Amino acid sequence: MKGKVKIRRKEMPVTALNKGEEGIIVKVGGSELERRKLFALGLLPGEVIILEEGYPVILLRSGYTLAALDEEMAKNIFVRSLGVHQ
Amino acid sequence: MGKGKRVVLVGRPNVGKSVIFNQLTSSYGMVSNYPGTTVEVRKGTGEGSGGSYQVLDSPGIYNLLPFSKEEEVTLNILLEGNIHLVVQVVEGKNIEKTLPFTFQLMETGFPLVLVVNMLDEGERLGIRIDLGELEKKLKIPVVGTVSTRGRGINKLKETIDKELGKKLTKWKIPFALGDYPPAVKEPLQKMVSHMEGYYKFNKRALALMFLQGEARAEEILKKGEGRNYRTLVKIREKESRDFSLLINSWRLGKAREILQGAVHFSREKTISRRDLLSRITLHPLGGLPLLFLVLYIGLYKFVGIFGAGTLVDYLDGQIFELWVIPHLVGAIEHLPLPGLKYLFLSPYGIITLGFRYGLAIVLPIVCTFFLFLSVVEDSGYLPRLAMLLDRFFKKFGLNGRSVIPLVLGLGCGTMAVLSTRTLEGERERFIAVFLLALGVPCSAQLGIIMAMLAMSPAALVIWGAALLVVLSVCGYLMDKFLPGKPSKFYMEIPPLRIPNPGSVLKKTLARVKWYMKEVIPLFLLISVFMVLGSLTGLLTFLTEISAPFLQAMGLPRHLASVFMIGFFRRDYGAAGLYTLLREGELTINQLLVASLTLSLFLPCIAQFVMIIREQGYLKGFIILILVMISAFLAGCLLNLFLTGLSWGGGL
Ligand SMILES: Nc1nc2c(ncn2[C@@H]2O[C@H](COP(=O)(O)OP(=O)(O)OP(=O)(O)O)[C@@H](O)[C@H]2O)c(=O)[nH]1
Ligand SMILES: [Mg+2]
Repeated sequence: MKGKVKIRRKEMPVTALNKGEEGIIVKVGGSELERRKLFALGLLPGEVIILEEGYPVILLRSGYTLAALDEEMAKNIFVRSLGVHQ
Repeated sequence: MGKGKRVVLVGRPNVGKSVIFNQLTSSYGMVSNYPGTTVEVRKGTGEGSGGSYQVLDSPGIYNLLPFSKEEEVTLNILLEGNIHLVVQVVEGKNIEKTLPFTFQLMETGFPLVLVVNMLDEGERLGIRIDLGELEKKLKIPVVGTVSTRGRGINKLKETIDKELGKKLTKWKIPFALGDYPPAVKEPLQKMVSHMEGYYKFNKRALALMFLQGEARAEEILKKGEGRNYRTLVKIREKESRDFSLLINSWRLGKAREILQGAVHFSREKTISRRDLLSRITLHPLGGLPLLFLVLYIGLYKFVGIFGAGTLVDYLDGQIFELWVIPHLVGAIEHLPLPGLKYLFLSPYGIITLGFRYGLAIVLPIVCTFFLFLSVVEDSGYLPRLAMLLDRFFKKFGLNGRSVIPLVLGLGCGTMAVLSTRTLEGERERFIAVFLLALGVPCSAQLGIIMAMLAMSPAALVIWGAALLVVLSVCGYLMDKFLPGKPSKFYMEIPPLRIPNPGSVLKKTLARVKWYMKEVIPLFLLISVFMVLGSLTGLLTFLTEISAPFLQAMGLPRHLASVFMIGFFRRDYGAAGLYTLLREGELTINQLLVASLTLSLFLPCIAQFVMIIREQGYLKGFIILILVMISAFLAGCLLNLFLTGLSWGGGL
């Protein structure tokens, strides 16, 4: 791990991460049904994710799962950045 | 002992349940590399030492809280299906994310077997799972498999046999896992002690689902508890806690705890070539060119030029015209009944129309298309396409998920209508079914049209563009006028996999067989209908009625019969066009307009029946009428556009 990009400690939606940046999920919002979907994909607080792509959909890798979410869905996931992972 | 018992396979989408089902039974269920392949329950028979047992393959679910129609099916079997054994299939490398679902299944009290599948992929990543250790910790049987290669299947069969032979231990919860934190445990206990109804499902599991606000559990409890239901709601509300989060976090934490010491990582992940390809397909700049490449090579070159061109020319032009038909004609000429001869050999006769269209024109195209589709499906390309097209599809009231049913529609519209079940909302299902009925040509039709228009690439481009414009405009209008919004997109993207030639062939054959089964009775029916129609004058009458409409589109009146045949089967309609073209009776403009209108025109009977089954009569007929109107308008507009061009009849 190298911390080239300045590590931001602020809480932010996962959509604000840079491509390749790692983050730890701190909060999952949205409707009950949407949260359940995200939980089912393994996206819940405490989990570490990497933003693989930001366009046309948000592509998150967590463990060995790759989840594609649209922006509406992804902006409910709040993370704290852990910097760029290599 | 195990005789007549029921075993159900459950698990997340795309983990290999259907492969395992095929191995356990002698039946064949579709296998593809995308989530949502199985949309209906399939039943098969497995053989055990105590006699045969029934195996059910179910649509994939993430947990006991379903999101779409096809997922509800699985929950329903568990809730009401008299199940004796649940076999949960999980993907080796993703076990951490699926173990929470295992706990949930354990909580329901069903006897459970855990199958850790795709060990090969895990091993490639350097993940080793100690199955014995896992079994010890979970206290349920655990079997490791590589189902595609048959590894571990015998062990699984033995395990199922053994479990079915055991005395029924339902309702005894093997809860060696510990219990939820007090914030969940207390209201949970309170609820269970207040529940008075009788349920086929474990009360505690039901209460857990209820705490998370699951609609189906609410419904069941409402029915089971009557007035008492209010008490349960009060317990849930009083705490006003984030139960979903508490429950899910606890389960995931527990999964980690159990896997510690049972899963070993032996080496760092290296980026392989397949990873690189995977990256390209995930990137918008890589994905779109790839799409055109796939369409050009697979669809145009292989299906259009090779299947619909070379193969059909050979089969129809050589084998049928020069050999099969003369021989059959010779044989039938000797038959005593003259009416029979008419039935077989008139222009709409069984041999001249049904038999020839079915075997010489449709079959080769369908075979090549299904082969192409199977390769695409098994590679894992479709979820990537779904993802790339999500934004685009949102403009039509759909989302990326609808890409898969629409692509399947290029194979066969009937199958595709069924797979719209994987879409979440009523609204999306309706739009997707409408677009499928309107303008997604099925493989045979597509093949024939491509072959016909291939002589003039400009015409082919115009046809394709016109079709896309019509679909887009209709989708856009639907989105505008239907209340609601497209639902949000989420999808798990599976890894790219190299399609296995054996399973690709098996799937292609299964589809072709299924297709022919549908075609053969229909081609008899069409011939009988058309022959009767021409004998009784009904055909002339219908032709008279449709003449002004055809005229408005600049089409000759004898095309009416082609459109009528088209309702029985779209592909046969296109084949009728093909015959007229060969006989030199159409100008290129007419061909173009007719191809477009026919592509848009009515769905075939089989598809229509499926639409009614999935959407009901009212919506079914609305779709029918909308499709007719749109097809006619599009035909008129294209005709105006073409005649307005100075190049008139000479594309
Ligand atoms: N490498 C590998 N691939 C496998 C294995 N088992 C299944 N697959 C592949 O995984 C994909 C999904 O298999 P299916 O049997 O269709 O999965 P399913 O669980 O029935 O999926 P749904 O019906 O969508 O819920 C296919 O491409 C299979 O070839 C395995 O043990 N190893
Ligand atoms: Mg399946």
